[in-house]
Amino acid sequence: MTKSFFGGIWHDRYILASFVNRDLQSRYRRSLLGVLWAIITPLALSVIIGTVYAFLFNQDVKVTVPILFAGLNPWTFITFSAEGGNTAFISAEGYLKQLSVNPQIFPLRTVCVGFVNLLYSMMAFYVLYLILQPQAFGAEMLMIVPGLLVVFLFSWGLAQIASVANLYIRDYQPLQSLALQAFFYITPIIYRPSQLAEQLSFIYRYNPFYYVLEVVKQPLLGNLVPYETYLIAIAVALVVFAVGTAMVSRCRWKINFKL
Amino acid sequence: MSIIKLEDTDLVFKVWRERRLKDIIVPGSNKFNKFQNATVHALDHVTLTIQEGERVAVIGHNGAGKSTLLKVIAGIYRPSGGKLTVEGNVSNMFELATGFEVEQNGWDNMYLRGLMLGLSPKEIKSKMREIADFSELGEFLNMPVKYYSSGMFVRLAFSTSTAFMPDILLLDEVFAAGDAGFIEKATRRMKEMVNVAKILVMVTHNMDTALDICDRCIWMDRGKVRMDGKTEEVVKAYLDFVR
Repeated sequence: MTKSFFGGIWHDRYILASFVNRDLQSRYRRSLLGVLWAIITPLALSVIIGTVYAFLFNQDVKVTVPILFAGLNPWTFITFSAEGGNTAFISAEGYLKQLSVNPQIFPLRTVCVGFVNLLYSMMAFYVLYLILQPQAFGAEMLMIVPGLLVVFLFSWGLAQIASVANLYIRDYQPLQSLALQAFFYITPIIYRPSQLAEQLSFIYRYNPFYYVLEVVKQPLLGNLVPYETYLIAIAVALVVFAVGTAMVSRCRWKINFKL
Repeated sequence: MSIIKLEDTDLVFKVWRERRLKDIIVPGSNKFNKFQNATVHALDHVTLTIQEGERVAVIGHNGAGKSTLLKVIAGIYRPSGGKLTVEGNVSNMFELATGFEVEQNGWDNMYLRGLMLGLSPKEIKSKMREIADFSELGEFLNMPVKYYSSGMFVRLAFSTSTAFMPDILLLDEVFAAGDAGFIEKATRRMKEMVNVAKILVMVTHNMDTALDICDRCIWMDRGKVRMDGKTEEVVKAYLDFVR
């Protein structure tokens, strides 16, 4: 099952690359700043929220903005993948019903597009961080690579789950977006764990998103992550990915009839 | 050596009613919707063999399973029972105006379609000029395909699907929208293709097309092969039946 899953992706790798390329191009076509928007949007958002928070809670802008930005980057990628997964098969109906293309490339297509955007916004982050806190740069930052792998696997899993779930029950899409919205406020993105009272720490301790975000967020900021966090993050990502892959593989031949 | 072989091939699919959360939580909330889950027996134990060099027309009523037969051969649907052997690379062209990126121009769509037909980027790029010439679309190829007419879609899709001399070519009712000149040209190409010992299977409602191109004809009825033989005989029997 897994062999035909990955074999199918390899077989259609050129199709996948072509789709991702097109999606990226069409996303920024007809806008004057083009691909720069991928960098400006998260940057501006972090500066706006960060400044407001710094002002409200009387904190240093130089500290709040990078932390916010570092958390928003992987979060945006995760939600983009999960949301995009909903329509992955539906929007590819024309191809799936006409040509014998492997359906598993379509959720992956969304994830790849989101991932390229993540890389762009990370560049914006590094530039900003270099201006605000140049002393934080160091070899610890290389740990971003395993972090990105974990968040990629996790997002791919979510996209696959959404792609199949939404074929069966169309309510999945609004439900998922509500749940993600809730997690956005629960997970330490716009606040820091240290701001919570000890008895409330369970809010993030039992939150799988927290661990997956940490392995990207902390290396971005130049901090090391405890290995327990890695273990939990990897376990969460693997489980979500395995569930998503199993769902897509099982429905491989039902998708065409469901569309 | 190309061959298509169906042995007792069966295709049953379920038709699902759109399910909403409300239907699961509130029992009886769908009482106004009489349509329940049903099964459709699209191919009913079909056994047939198509050898190299054959040009086959598939005819029959709407919903007889003609298109399903083609999609099973193309590998888009998997049979739910029986055996299916398809040897040789398959190229196909089914519904019109689907499977296109409407915002992209003709060249991009030609490239993408080529990839989906199983070609490598290099192979497609070397053939693009030739496809463009055959399609006679000229300047229109630089235009997003959302502005194309249905005839232009036919030209683009047919030219791409046949440019690579596939072993097996599957066509589903594609000429309705093409103009007379293009139909003639396409007919000639299909005949040429079969001359180099390849297989052609086409679904058609136009008996003249069937008689002109194909030497064998299969009449499908409710998922079964009702008659299989020389085109003239099968077409005559079918027309007698319809009248």
